[in-house]
Amino acid sequence: MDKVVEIQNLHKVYRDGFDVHALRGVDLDIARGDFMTIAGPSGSGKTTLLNILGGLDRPTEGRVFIEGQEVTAMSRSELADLRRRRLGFVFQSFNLIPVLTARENVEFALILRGVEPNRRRELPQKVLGQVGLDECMRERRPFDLSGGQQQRVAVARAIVGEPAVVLADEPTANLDTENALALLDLMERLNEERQATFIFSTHDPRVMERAKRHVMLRDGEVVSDERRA
Amino acid sequence: MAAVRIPFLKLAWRNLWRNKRRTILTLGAMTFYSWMLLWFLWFWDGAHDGMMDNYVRILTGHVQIHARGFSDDMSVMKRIREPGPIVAAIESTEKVAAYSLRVKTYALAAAHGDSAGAFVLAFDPRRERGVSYMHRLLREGRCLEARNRGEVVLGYVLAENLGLALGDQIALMVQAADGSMGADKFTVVGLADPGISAMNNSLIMMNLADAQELLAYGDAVNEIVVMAEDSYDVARVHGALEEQVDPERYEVLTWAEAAPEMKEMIELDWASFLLIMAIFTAVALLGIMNTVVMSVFERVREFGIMMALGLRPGQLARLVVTETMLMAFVAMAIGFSLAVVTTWLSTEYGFDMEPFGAQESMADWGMANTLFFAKFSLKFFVVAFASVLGMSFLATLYPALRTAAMRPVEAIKFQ
Repeated sequence: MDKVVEIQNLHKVYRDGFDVHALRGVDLDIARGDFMTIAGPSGSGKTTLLNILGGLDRPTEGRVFIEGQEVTAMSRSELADLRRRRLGFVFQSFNLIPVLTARENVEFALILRGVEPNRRRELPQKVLGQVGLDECMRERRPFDLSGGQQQRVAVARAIVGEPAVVLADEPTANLDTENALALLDLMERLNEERQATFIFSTHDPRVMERAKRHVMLRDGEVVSDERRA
Repeated sequence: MAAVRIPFLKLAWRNLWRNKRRTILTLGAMTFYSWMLLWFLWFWDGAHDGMMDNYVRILTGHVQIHARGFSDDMSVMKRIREPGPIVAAIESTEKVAAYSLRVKTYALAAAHGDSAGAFVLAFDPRRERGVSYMHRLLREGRCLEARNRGEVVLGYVLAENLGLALGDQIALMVQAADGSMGADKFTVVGLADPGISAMNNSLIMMNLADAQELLAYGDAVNEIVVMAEDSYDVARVHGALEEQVDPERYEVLTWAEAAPEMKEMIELDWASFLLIMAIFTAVALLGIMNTVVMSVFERVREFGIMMALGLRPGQLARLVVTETMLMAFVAMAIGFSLAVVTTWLSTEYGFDMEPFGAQESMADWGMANTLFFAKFSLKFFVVAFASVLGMSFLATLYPALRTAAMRPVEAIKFQ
């Protein structure tokens, strides 16, 4: 198996007056091209796990490797470099930069990666076309786009730099069924075409149905890890 | 891969206009601060120059040369017996605008049976016009003329005290340099108002030759007053003259050394001005900091997203700093333009400080003038530029550091 993510004995304890164990010894290997969900009830630790995978948070104990690099040993700046070069994020509430147009939001991810200006101009148009955003919408700012359109831009931003892993935290939570299914179609296609690894933190059955692998967390522990036939 | 060039300016400029009202108010405050600071600096500098000019043009000149010890003890015996070599040195010195030879002494003045102590200031009227405003102080009558002998111009209060009018005779008695008593009669041709009370009731101006004869001085004088081309040239002229005269025999003093009280007054005035500006700056700084903090806290979540995209903490701080500095540059462009206009107006027409109680405080220093003129100077432009930039940078430092210290996971969850 070509492991893109390797998680070893991951613990996370939040200390806020009393200790809350969000993760208790999680071990997980994720292969390149996986299209998987991390599910579980509220408080099971799925968002914490995703945050640590994305270098947004640090574990109390344990190690995480992404493409062989130990994320848990990196400095803040190294983590920023890791996020800009190897990871893509899709958040529940779209989270585009409001002062940039749809195209500029996508281009911004390329600027951070140091992509050459010519490619920076071409790629966003291409990827926004792939996610199905009409040309006339591309020069609009986020507040002039619908929720579904904003989430398409967020996906385009996450994948434009061809990251090793796309982390999506409840990406369909704020979308109606039509938009949610369209978004899932899109991510499924990108997964197949580009072999991009998608990791969803979700309990949305619409996402669960499409995923090839399901990891279930409960009280910070992996209770099941199943692959769809 | 090309170098990472984040469009900070574009992002900052657009961020500023997300909340137009707040940006316009902050920009307005920064513009007002920039305008006031630069205009006040230029005006204060010009006003001090004017005060100093008034003072040196009436009393001290820029540089004074005496026989050593004369400034401490104005004895008639302490004189410059041969002014020629010193005059030659002055004439060969760069940045000298004018000079005048003077004789100063105390005298007993008498007329109509009354007498009063007097201060005699004698000069060549043609030369003195280059160094002092004595000819402008005339209240009545006419000025001294070089070709006429035996004439005096009196301080108008002294004339009133002695019951003298134009054309009257006044008797003067002095101690002469040869040990004898010098005495003579002079005709009053003018009454002057120097605006300094001590001089109004004691000043007697006369021709240099008359004083030299009265004091049995021959060609000697006891003061040579030199004016530099500009107040900034005083130190240079003073240094050059000090090198050329015999320090054993002569003293070369700047106006500040000859009249330290005036220099102290200007320094005190600058200190008060700087204190007021420091308070003004602190208020502006806190106001701007408050605005920047508000704008940062409204965007914590957005900053979290930017960090998730890979923006480093330092780059986020730079974005926050760029927004404030952009406002500072716009504020300076407008504020400094306004300052140029108001300074130009107050250079051309002056600014009367009388409504602000200047007459009383100027009178304390023996000066009657309350109309002051501003003065453009590169030095204070640089000071204002650095102050606005420094203040803006300090105001944004705390919010920028707070932004850089944010943890992405907390920032993204921030509501």
